[in-house]
Amino acid sequence: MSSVRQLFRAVLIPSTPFIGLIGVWQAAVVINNISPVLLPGPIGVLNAAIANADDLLTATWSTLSDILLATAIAVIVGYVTAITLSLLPLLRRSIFPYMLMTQVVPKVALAPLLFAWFGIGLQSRLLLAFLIAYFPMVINTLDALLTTDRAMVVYTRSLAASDWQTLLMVRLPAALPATMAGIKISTSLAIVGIVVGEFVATNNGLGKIVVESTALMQTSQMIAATLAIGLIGVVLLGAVDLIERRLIRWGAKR
Amino acid sequence: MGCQAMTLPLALWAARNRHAIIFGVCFLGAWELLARNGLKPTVFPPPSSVLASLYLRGDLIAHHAWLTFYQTIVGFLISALAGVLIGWAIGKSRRLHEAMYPFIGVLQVLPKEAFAPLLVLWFGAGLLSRITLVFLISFFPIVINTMIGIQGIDENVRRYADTLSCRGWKMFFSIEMPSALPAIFTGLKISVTLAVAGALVAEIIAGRDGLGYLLLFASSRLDMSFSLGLLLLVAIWGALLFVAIELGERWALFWR
Repeated sequence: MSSVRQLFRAVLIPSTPFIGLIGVWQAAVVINNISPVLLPGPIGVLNAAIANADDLLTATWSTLSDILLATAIAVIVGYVTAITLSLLPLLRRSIFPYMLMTQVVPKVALAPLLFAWFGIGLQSRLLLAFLIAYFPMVINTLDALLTTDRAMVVYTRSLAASDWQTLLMVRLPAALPATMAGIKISTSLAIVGIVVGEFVATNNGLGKIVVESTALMQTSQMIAATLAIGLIGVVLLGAVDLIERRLIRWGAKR
Repeated sequence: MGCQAMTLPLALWAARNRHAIIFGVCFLGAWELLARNGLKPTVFPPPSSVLASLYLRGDLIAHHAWLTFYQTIVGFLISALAGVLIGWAIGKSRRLHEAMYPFIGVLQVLPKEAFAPLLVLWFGAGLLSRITLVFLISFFPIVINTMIGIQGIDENVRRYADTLSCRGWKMFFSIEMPSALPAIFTGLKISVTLAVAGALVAEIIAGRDGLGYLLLFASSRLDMSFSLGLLLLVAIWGALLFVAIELGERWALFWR
């Protein structure tokens, strides 16, 4: 009895809103007899997705690999920047305030400019995603590197550890939770950068399918592609979340 | 007297950020010099011509800027109101939390910008589709932060207030909202930047007007001074909204 109740709690209750949304969607389409050009039901979208599975999968892969590349570049360059700035106080005082300022600036506005400067290829999309995703990574990591527990640092110094050893053994591990938070933010922003880039340039990936099928009034295919973008977001951020939990558990064990 | 009261904090701020100020001035100076003697002005226009292009097209900008400001603020206010109320409801009820939290978690990580073309299909390329996108983008951080704030209220405080027959609206305004305000403001600060970005994305993707459309138009004509000028305006708009929320936070959380 209690295991049935547990199952009910753990699976059924959280999935109610999802099932409810799909049910209301299908019911609304059928009952109101909505034209499939305006809003096809979930079954229509699924059919369109199966019919165009090849195109959708190719586009999904292309968008996903662009996102992964952009995230990797932003995370690695951001991490290295944060370490460099933590070691060079003069440089940090000169440019870090500007990096903080970029946080309140909507960087997607750079899209038209980047495409005008660098053309509509991969480099523009990557640059847009990079510029959006880079700064939060730097800020999160650097902030944590600068606020490492002083007592711990002094203690390591007293053991005659060099600056490099302090950085590698104390500061970077202590900054790990903030670094992971930065990676999570960067990943979600890289998705936005790549997708907006595909919408504006429309020569590649799921964004191209969305824009093209809108123009052709193939609404079910457009919704399928939009949902595929959403799925990429959910899966990628779920993966980052999983890695984060693993790392924190591993850190707690040590 | 009033003048002195203003200049002292300003001087302190300048002293603390002197490196950044020197760097900024040198950077702009070097850019201006390089752009005037060498770099193609069509690609990298000097800062002075960026400012001049804004000044020359003041009337055009005013019309489009007003639209962007209007839809950012309307979308943001709706999401703030709805976000706080829904976040409050989810934070209060364990049942609702169990049922809704995974759903909201999934919606939160969806890249909402991807829905811009769909919104345009449904609501047209006008204000409604853009305000809806601004709302969708800025709604979830407010819900989640409000929820966290409400859940963080000490159970003993609740019970104590209850014994003083502080319930319903009284509980909402004198216990729950003040306790959750710091978390709510965190959410508002995240959202306000997202709101500006949302308005611009909507204008860039399906624009007939607004700063995003003007930006797309200017850069498609390779008018780089005007494009950079518009970018500067957008940056100032984002910063102004953020500062406004921060001032609101200081005013509302006067006891901190």
